Amino acid sequence: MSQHLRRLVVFVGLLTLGVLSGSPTTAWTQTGELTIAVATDPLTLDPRGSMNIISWSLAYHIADPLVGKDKDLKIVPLLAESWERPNPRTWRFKLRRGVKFHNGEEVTSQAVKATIDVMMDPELAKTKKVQVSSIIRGNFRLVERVETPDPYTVVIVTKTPYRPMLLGLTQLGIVPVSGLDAAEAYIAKPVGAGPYRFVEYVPGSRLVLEANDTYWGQKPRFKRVVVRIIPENATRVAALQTGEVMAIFNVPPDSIERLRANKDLEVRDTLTTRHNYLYLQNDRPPFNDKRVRLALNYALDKEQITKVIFRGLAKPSSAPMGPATAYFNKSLKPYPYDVAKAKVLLAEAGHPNGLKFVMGTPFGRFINDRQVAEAAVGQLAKAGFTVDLRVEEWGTSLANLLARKYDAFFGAYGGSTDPDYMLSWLFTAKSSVIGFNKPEVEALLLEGLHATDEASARKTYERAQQIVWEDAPMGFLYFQPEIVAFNKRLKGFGPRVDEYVDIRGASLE
Amino acid sequence: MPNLYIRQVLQSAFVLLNVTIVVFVLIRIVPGDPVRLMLGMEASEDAIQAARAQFGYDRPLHEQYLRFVGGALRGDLGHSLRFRRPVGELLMETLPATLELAAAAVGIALVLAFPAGIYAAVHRGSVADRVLMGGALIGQAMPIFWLGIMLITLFSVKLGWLPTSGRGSLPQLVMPSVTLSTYVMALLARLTRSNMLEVLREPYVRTARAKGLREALVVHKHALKSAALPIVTVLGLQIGALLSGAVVTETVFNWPGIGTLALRAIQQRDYPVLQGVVLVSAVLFVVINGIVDLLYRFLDPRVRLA
Repeated sequence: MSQHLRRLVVFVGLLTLGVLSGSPTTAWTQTGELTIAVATDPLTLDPRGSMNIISWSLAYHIADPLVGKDKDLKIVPLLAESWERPNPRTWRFKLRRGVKFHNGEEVTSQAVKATIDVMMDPELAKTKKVQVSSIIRGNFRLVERVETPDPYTVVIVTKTPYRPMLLGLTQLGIVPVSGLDAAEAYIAKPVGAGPYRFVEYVPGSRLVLEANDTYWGQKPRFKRVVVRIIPENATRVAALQTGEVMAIFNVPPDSIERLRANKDLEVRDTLTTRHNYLYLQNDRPPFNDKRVRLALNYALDKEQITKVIFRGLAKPSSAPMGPATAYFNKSLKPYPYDVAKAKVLLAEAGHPNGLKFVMGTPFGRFINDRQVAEAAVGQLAKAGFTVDLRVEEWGTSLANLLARKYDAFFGAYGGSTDPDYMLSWLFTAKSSVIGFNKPEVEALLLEGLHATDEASARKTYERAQQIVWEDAPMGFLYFQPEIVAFNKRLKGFGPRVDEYVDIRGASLE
Repeated sequence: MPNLYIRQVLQSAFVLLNVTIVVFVLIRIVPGDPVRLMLGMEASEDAIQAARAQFGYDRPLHEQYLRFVGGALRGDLGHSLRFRRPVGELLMETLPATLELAAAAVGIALVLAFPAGIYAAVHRGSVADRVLMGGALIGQAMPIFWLGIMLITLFSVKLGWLPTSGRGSLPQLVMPSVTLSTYVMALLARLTRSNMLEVLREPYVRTARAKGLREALVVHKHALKSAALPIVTVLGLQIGALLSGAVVTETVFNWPGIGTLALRAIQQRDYPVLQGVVLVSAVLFVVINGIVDLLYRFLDPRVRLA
């Protein structure tokens, strides 16, 4: 071998050895430490900027909101020990005294005001360089002002009576006043008054938290929590099988049997707010004809899709929003699978020889999205629908959906347990991407938003769901399950209907 | 001679400038709006417009481009739309991981491919030759993605020898680097073999043999020296393949390098991150090929004279 080449080889070898001797950290679970794996990056742990469930549910461990929600979605006191609603537009909260943020600042009404004010005021957010999440901001769009009569009292006054105020507050962890003034430093190292302190976040790799021993409530059970981000399904499942992590989220349905065969592991599922369907364009042919929309719904074999593709864990849709959303209408029934009826309806609508339309679907965005779309295309063909299926990457398909380039689109929607959030976007003419326009539904949604008592809110939303359901504005498919798998040593842990990653109540045996 | 270096530097700068234009235009041709992807499908048009203005995406394209290049020249690659942190910081965090992975992969490839290729050439037509070259062919054709998952299934799940994924300890590096090395290794082994075969037919090798030199000496001293030369070039060119292979390997093994960063940036149309990743990859490619060029001149007197 030439001398130069030998040198090159030695050089590469040394380089390899050199880089190998980096600081070793172990991913194996140890006493007092919990390692879990999730599929997506939280992106930011600043509660004000959280854009997805994974980020606000992880931020929820770092920064306590005024109120929280337990696994049954009951509102529970956190930084606010009590609250009252003296009149329909006013909410008055009493803060716990002597609670400290991780940086030593005290939790006062000023901090609460600073946190909420920046959500309401885009100009303030801009000058302070706070990145505000549009989703979380939406919870505060009807807030008129926040008052602080004393350091431990917060009064929130809304422009109109606003039913989901408490639920909106559960999404916003309270940030110290310094988090407003030094927003960029805050993003790098978020601080709150939650049970865990932020240690580090390496995008695409892991988030590390450590116990906040001075937490006001139940002391955290783990000294250290490592949340690993493993997007690849097979790798995430393998990490659980080898014991590297104690729990995984977003379990792919096709690995359930394998995981159940392992006696150390447990797989649990629950239905959530997430609902999968075909978005149809209601204001142009062919789906501006209700008979065609009904035909499509009868032609879809929901049972087959949920049984074969989801191993029976998904459930055929029976309402326009997911079952974990408040005021879900339980009395509605799925559209039965009836090809003959679909054909009759199509003929009545003037398509005796069937019809052709364009359908889009993303791949890799929703669980088994491509398989479901392809199955649906096959089922629809039996009733006379010829579908030109366009399988596209999420960014592209989302752009095409919003530009209304597809007649139909396979997708999902979910994430909020409030019916206003789940229904208003799709079924209000101004924002509807499916061209839905029914003033009576809009009136009901507004009425529900302003409702001041449970009974009238329930009645209003159940009625709205019924009208939408009977109009068949979408190809209703199924309610998607949240599936988690974990080591049986992990107690007090499981899937939540709001899809939160929640380890507040968990412990290791 | 100095002229040559200056020319090379200027050429590289020109290449990089073109890369910035191409990447800037390409990622904007692909449908998909970064602001929409960030704010979610239910965000109102007003919110989208406000965010577009905030990030400067409402400005004319040439203005956006000049701002990007101007910033890049000052070392400022902008802020990630998704992570809300400086792109430079994200690259500094992820680049070492990718370099570590690539160096380990090249190391493994060199150590295994050279002897295999030489052995196969010297024992041409033997069973060992067929097994080695068959293996190389499979290695070159095998999807990296599939190989990675098979390795995890075997060595982590079944045998429990190695951790599935992540970075930080030596055991965690083994499977990703072996996976990434397969393609380069297979290519190098095949190339070494064919070059050796060619060189072994050269008159000077015959002369060496005729002098009565031991076969081992003929192979190692006389033949290998010339056979190895083109390999240096190929290795330099493989940096591109290595970087794209790293995207897949890093995804499978959850290796926090620029590959995973790039993949996420593409999915979310995180323009600043994507521009940063491509620019850094291009710089790496240009620099390494520059080094290879120089090395080649140094190794081969004919090139030096030309």
